[in-house]
Parts: sequence; C-alpha cells; structure tokens
Amino acid sequence: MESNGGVDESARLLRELQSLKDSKRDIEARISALEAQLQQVQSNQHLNKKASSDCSNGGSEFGHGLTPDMIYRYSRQLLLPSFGVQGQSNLLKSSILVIGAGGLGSPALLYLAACGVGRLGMVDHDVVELNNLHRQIIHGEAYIGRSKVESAAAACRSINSTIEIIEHKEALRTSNALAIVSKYDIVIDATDNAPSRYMISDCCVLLGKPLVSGAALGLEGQLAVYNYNGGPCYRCLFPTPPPTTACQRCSDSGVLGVVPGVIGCLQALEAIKVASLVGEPLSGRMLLFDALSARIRIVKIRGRSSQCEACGENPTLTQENFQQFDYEKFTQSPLSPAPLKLKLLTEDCRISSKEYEDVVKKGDAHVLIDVRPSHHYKIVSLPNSMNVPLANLEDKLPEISSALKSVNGGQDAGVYVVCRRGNDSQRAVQLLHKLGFMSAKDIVGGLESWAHDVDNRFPTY
Amino acid sequence: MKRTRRQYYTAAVERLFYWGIKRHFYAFLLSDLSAIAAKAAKQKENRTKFQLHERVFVKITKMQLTLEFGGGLELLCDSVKIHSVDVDLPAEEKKLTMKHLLAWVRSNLIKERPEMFMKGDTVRPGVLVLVNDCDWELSGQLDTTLENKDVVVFISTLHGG
Repeated sequence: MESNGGVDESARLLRELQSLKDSKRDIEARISALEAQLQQVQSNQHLNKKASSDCSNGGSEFGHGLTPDMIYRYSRQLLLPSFGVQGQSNLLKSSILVIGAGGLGSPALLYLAACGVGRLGMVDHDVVELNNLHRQIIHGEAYIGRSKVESAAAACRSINSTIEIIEHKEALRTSNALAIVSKYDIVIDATDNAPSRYMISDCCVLLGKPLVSGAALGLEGQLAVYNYNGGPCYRCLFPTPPPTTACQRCSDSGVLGVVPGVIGCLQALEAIKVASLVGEPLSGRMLLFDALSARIRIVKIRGRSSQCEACGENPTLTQENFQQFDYEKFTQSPLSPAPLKLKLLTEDCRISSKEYEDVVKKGDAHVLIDVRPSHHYKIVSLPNSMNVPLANLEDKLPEISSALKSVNGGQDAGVYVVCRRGNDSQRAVQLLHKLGFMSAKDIVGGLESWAHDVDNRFPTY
Repeated sequence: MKRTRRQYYTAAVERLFYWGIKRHFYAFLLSDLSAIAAKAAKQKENRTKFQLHERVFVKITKMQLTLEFGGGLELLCDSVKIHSVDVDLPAEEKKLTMKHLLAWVRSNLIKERPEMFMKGDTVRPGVLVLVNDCDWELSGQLDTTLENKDVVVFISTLHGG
C-alpha cells in the first residue's frame, strides 16, 4: 500500500516537474523572441539617431563615432596604444560570421560579442546535447535539446546587447552559402568536417572574404588565416582531400574541452586583428598546438598557388559551379555528423540486441567478444564480455578458442561480437568467418542499440 | 736553556737536511706536474684529432635528424611523436633528400597502415611536411636536401571542432 503511494507520489511530482519545465521553456522562448524584437527596434532607433546626428555634426561629438557608453564599455581596449580608438571603431563597423557554434565557435562568439564587433552572425543547424557541454561553453544545461544558434545568440546578447546579432538556424550548404557569407566582412570556420571546410574556403575565395580557419581534435589544434591579402586559400594548401579514414571526429576520437577552447580564442583574436586592421594576421603561416607537451609551433606555409583551382591563375571555380559542386562526394564524407552505418553481413550472420538479451536470459552457452579499443571498454561494457580490440583480433584467436572450450566444452556455443555502433563488429565477424569461426554473429547497432532497446540505464557515450 | 755546540750543529744539519728534502720534493712535484700537464696536452691533442676525424666520418655516411609526427600520424609509429634518428645516406649518394627520407621513414618508423602516411612516393593528401618549420613546398618538396640536425615535421590536417 505504502510503496504504491510512493509510486503515485513520484509520478505526480514527475508530472508537475514536466509541466513546469514545459511552461519554463515557453516563457524562455517568449523572452528570447521579445529580446530579439527589442534588439531590432533599438538598432533601428540607433540607426535613426546616428543618421540624424551624422547630419547635425558630421559624426559624433567626439569625432570618432563612439558614444559615451561605448567609451566606458570598451575603455580597456581604447587604452591600448596599438589598438585604441581607431581599432575599436574599425571593429564596430565590421561584421563577422562564425560558422559552427560548437567547441571552436563557443569561445570565439563570446569574445567577439564582448569586444564589440558591429554585426555578429552565427550559423548552425544542430541542437545542444549533454555531451557537448564539456567544450561548447557558450551553451548551458537549460538549452539541452534546443537550437545551438538560439542558445549562443542568447549568451552573446546577455554579454553585449549593443551589437547586432544575427541567427542563421540552418546548415551551411552550397545553396545558401553565397547569400549568407556575402553579408559579412570576415568568416570564421568553426566547423567539424572536411567537406564544410572546402565549401567555406571556396565560398570565401568567390566573395573575397578573409577566412580564419581553426580545427581541434584530441589534444591538438591548428589555426591559419586563408585568402587574406594575397595569401593562400585552403585549397592551395590541400588541393586533394584526404582519405575518409584520415578524417577523425570528436565523437569517435575524443577531444579535451579546453583544446578547441584555446583554438577558438585564437580564432577570435585573428578575426579581431583582421577587422580592426591591427597587427599581423596569421596569413601564410600556420599555428600548430600540442596541448599534451605544451608546445606551440608556428610554421611558414606556401603562398597562393598559381595552379589552385579556386584562387589560381585559371580557376575552375565560379559562383555557378560552386552551387552545383558536390562537396560530400569530393571529400567522400558527409556534411552532417550522422555516424556511418555499414552493411557488410547478411541477415543470418546478425542478431538484434533484443535477440541477444534472449540468449542471455535462456542461459545459452556463448562467448561475447567486445571488439572496441580497450579505453572504450573501460568506460562501459556488457557483463561477461571479453575485450579483444579489432586490431588484435587475429593475434588473440587462441584466447577466443580457449574461452569457447570453457563454455559448454565448445559444443554448439555461439560467438557473438559487439562494438559501439555495429560497424567494427561486422568487420570482426567477416574476419572471424575467414579464420574458421563460422558461427560468429554480430549484434546489430552495437551497445547503442542495447542501451536504446534493452537497457535504458546502460550508459551511452 | 743553553744548547751545547754539538746540539747546535745537529740542529743545523737537520735543518739543512730538511731543506734539501723539501727542495727535492718540490722539484719532484713540479717536474711531475709538468709531465702530467704535458701528457694531458698530448692526449687532448690526440682527442681533437680523433674527433675531427670522427666528424668528417659522420658527415659522409650518417645524418642526425629530428622527426616529429602530429595530427594523428604518431599513431602509425607506436604513438611516439618525436624521434631522434640517424639516417644512413643512400649508397653512392653525397646528400640526403626528402625522397630518401620518406622511404626511410616508411620502412623504419611506420609500424601500421603505411597508406595513411604515403601515397605513391610522396605523402598522402592532407599531410603537411615541414623542414625546419617551413612548408616543404617552399624548398622543393621531394627534392629538398637535408642537412645534419634538421627538424622534419609530418602533420596530418585536422577537421574536428
């Protein structure tokens, strides 16, 4: 009776929590809409005022266009002899587009909003997820499940409500890239994949925009300014795309949160230098950052290539064929971060995670081989599985044979193979078939499907 | 106390005797030191000669280089990023070029998936090669001549963010 009451009580609390969360979300949405509206009205007023004051005394009363509020807000930058009023007013007149509001874009956007870039645009189609927060520091827990651009725009507005912030809640594609990028002076590439990098570079070459390109993975980062002042573009440096296997993603290889943070900050710095016409941007050079050994190396790279298909003497790239160009095919990797889904095996060599659950429940004699790398296995694993990373599979065959003998004397014992998503397990089963383990089957969808279909409390990563 | 004449003489003789010994001792010491110094000087000379000889010898057949791998390429050589290596000059050659070095790296340092490092006789697309912090495109790519103590960096371009 009492336990039943407890269940009812918790259900009631959950319902109430849910409805409060829903109304909170509604209110937040209304707040951000109103903020955007207010922003629009204020900027119109500002423009009108500016226009009228321009007529009355030809600029501002101080002769440099900065209002008293601006002078106070940006005073620490104005005090810099090498930056000063001129740098700040150049910055306020400039517009910067940040493509990607993730690990690189987060700090870049925060600094660009804070330092007073006149117009700040952001492009992203993704939503905030819990496993983003360790590095995408512009987003908070309250925005999980909501658009990254919405979240980033709200954060930027809360830091600096006096600049214009423009949200592009869409993926950058060849169809919309020219229209979006043409509205800005400088572009920051904070994306996470090869096709986007080629597409953004080509688009910047076509429109003559300087490109601040950053990348980070694991414990390393890279930074360069392309298409600036006669310097090289991304294609001059990398005319041929790398093989797909060389393009690792943060979701597979991991990344320490602060590493893209460092590179994102440096991207903001380079963009500020280009926008304010101060200093010497990192053009014709590349910065290589190795976090683990605390080494930063700045190297000289080649200049603009006369053979370059985008910016060379006889470029094949035009606005028309840019819009037709298939960057996914060119780089053989997808623009969107959808994970690979291989299909190497026939249905009879595979079982679903639910079917495997039945095998376990019935107590059928079997061996479960987890072919993920050992550092993955240490995060989480299924009970009674043995870890044989795919790379060592061939060397560890005797271990598999002896494990088979120890269950049911090896008679009719099944061999099941599992991995994270169900790709490597298929490769492993192919190899096992070749090596004589004809009964080997893989679990479709790997541990992710186990967590999704069988055990909701099983951690995913 | 008054000394006898005999005691006086004895003391004088003793003193003279000691002076003699001291003089001889110092003389012996001095002569020995100079001998040691001369010997040391000769050894040093020999060593220098030998070293010179050795240096000339090294220049002809071996090249001391620092090779660095980054951006994930280190995974192909046991996850070691920095390698200090002595590379033998190819037979009948007086200089070491990047072309030779790539072949040497492929057979001596790359432990797995060589196709992730090379394509044909050059590096695969997406790998930057830097000789003394300078893009090899500026020094003649495969024809770049390497000097003793050069630093060569191989770095795979990153796409994550």
